[in-house]
Amino acid sequence: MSIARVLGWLATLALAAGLVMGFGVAPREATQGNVQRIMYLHVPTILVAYLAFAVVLVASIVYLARRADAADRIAHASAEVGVLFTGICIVSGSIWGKPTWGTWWTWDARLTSVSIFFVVYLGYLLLRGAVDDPERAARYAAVIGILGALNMPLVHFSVYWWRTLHQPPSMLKPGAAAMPPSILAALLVNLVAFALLYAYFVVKRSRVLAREAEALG
Amino acid sequence: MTADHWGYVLAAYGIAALALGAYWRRLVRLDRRLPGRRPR
Repeated sequence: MSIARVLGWLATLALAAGLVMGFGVAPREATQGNVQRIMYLHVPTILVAYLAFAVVLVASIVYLARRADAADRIAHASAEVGVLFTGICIVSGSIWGKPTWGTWWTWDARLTSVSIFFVVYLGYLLLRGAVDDPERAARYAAVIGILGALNMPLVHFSVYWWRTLHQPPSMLKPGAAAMPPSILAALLVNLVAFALLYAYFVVKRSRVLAREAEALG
Repeated sequence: MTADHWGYVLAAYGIAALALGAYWRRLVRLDRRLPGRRPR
C-alpha cells in the first residue's frame, strides 16, 4: 500500500474520531451553546494552515539554495493545501461570528491579517500559473513563499497587539490551555486529523506535480 | 438558555466537507488524466 493511501485512510479515521469527539464527547459550551462546536473545525484548520505555510517557507529556502525541484513541488503542494485550509477557516469563522458577534465580518486586526495572509498565498498560486517558464515561476514563487511567511506571527499575535473582536488564541499561546480537558481533547484529535489530511493532500499533489513535470519533459 | 444555532454548525461543517471533497476529487482526476505509471 502506498504512503498516500495509508495517510488517506488514517486521515479518514481521524476525521471520524474528530467528529465523535467534537459532537459526542465534548460538552455543550455554557455561554455560546452548541454553535461553539464550530471551533473543532475553525481552530485546527488555521493551525494546520500555519504548518502548511511554514513548510512552504522551508521548502522555498531549500529550493533557492539548491534548486531542488522536489522542494519546489512540496512548496507548491503545501501552499495549495494551506490556501484551502485558510479558506475553510475564514468561512467557518464568519459563520461562527454571525450568531456570536452579530456580524458575518468585521475588519478587525485578526480577520484583516488572516485575509491578507490568504490573498498573499492565493497570489503565490496565481503567479505560478501565470509565468510560463517553470524555473522562473519556481524562483518567483519561492521569494513570495518566504516573504509571505513573515505575516504568520502578525496573524497569530494580532489579537494581543491590537484590540480585536476576535478572542485570544485557543492554542499556541503563553501558559496552559484554559479549557476543560474534554474540549481540549476534542480540539487535539481534530488537529491531528487535519494534520493527517494535510499530509495526505500534499503527498498526493506532489506526486501529481512530479508526473506532470515528467509528462512535459 | 443560549440558542444552539445548529443551522450555522451544519453550514460550517457542510461547506468544509464540500471544499475538502472537491479538492480530493480534483487530485484524483488530475492523477487519472496523466499518462504513465502511478507511484505506489
